[in-house]
Amino acid sequence: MQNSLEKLSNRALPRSFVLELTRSCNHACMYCYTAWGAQDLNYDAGNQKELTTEEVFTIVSRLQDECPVQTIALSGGEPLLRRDLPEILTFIRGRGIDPMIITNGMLLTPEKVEQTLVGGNYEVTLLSTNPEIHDRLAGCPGAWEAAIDGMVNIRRGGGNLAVAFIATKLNYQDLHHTVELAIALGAYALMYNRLNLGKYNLRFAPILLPSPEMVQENLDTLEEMADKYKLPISISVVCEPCVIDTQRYQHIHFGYCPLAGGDSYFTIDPRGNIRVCNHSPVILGNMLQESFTGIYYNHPYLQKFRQTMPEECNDCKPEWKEVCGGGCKAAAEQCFGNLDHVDPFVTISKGTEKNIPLN
Amino acid sequence: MESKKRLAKGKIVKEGERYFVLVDQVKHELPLNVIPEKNIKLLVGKDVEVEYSNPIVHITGVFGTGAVRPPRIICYIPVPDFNPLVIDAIAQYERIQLVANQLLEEKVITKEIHAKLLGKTVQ
Repeated sequence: MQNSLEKLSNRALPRSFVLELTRSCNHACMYCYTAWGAQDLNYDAGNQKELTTEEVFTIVSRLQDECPVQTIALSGGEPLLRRDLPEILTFIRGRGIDPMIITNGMLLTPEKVEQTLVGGNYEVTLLSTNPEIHDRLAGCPGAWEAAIDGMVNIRRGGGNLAVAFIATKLNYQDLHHTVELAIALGAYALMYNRLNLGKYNLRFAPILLPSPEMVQENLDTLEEMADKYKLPISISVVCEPCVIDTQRYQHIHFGYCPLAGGDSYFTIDPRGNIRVCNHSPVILGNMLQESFTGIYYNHPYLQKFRQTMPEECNDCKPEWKEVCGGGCKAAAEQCFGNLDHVDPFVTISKGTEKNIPLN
Repeated sequence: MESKKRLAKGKIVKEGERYFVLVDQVKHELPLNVIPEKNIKLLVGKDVEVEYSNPIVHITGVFGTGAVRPPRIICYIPVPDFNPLVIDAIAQYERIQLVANQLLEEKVITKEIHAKLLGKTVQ
């Protein structure tokens, strides 16, 4: 016990955080996995008020006082809907932290790019070269064209563009051309994620969730393109090695759940509530009232999060278990309400899922 | 080959969505995909010094001559040993052009989108 406590208190502190600035969004993405997207999760339902600019500054300062913060990703909802975004970016940059705006790109007019250029880094979602598919997935007519304009404006303004692609059954076949379009838009990097299930998007699983074969086909494409175009490609949603062969790729960076450790990106919601990641629905505390390190080292949920291994993984190869950790625990938590279940992508892929109706 | 440099007086002008540097009544277009437009905007209407890299009349740089000099703006690079950042920018633009042309040929994108990607207006 003594040893495990010592080990815990020596755990490295996180360097990256996600700040969800607003719940408001001008899209209605079918694949949205935010914790507040599903009414039945009842996520902090009684409190919709958003942090003021000053409160955001306080939280950023506190995080920096407690942790070696290097990057803060600003998301939402749609962060560009916050009028004080330029001030927030200036504050973060002024503290020596690298901000990244995670946006659907729709509001990135030349003026907005100029106002936010102090941040310098933008991650914009591009779902297809086909406007109809992009707009359908985004739940917003005209989204594709506006996003293209936004990305053109980023390049003209001198900003850094990374493109995010979320693979679903509807768009996975268009990955090759979408990556090329991202390159033609001046993207310096690509983020690829398979659809990650949550309480809200679960209803669309039958029409959206890609099979392991589809993801594998995409990874083959990405491997070839990363090499051909020298494009950095990374994946943050877990590709579980029991359903997807990740060993054969040399040019793709695979991310796995950092299990609430130093590589985690703890997430602060629009009210200051803190969660283990942007997918998790579990509130650990509030940054306006509590210290981050107090939560990080002492919260019983985090200990459980780090240690729980789903029963379905018992017979898995130890070397896979070590990196995979049972897939996305937050996806399981959103869909099933606890950490004891494996990521539903695994059970659905293996045809063993009994709790989710897929027809 | 050692490049010979010479300087000339010029002026930055804007015509429609395009920017030029005017030297001795000759206009040289500034490539917006290499120089951020916000940087050029600062110099519109101002007298600038234009640096030519060699007798082949390639402009290599534009910078202001006011009391407070704005940052040097590079607008064309004819020599291989020039600023590596700009060489990267040129290489990136060439890649953008190549990939955008491929997408157009394969009819993945329309002429309008192709023009947007290359910072041009459709005729």
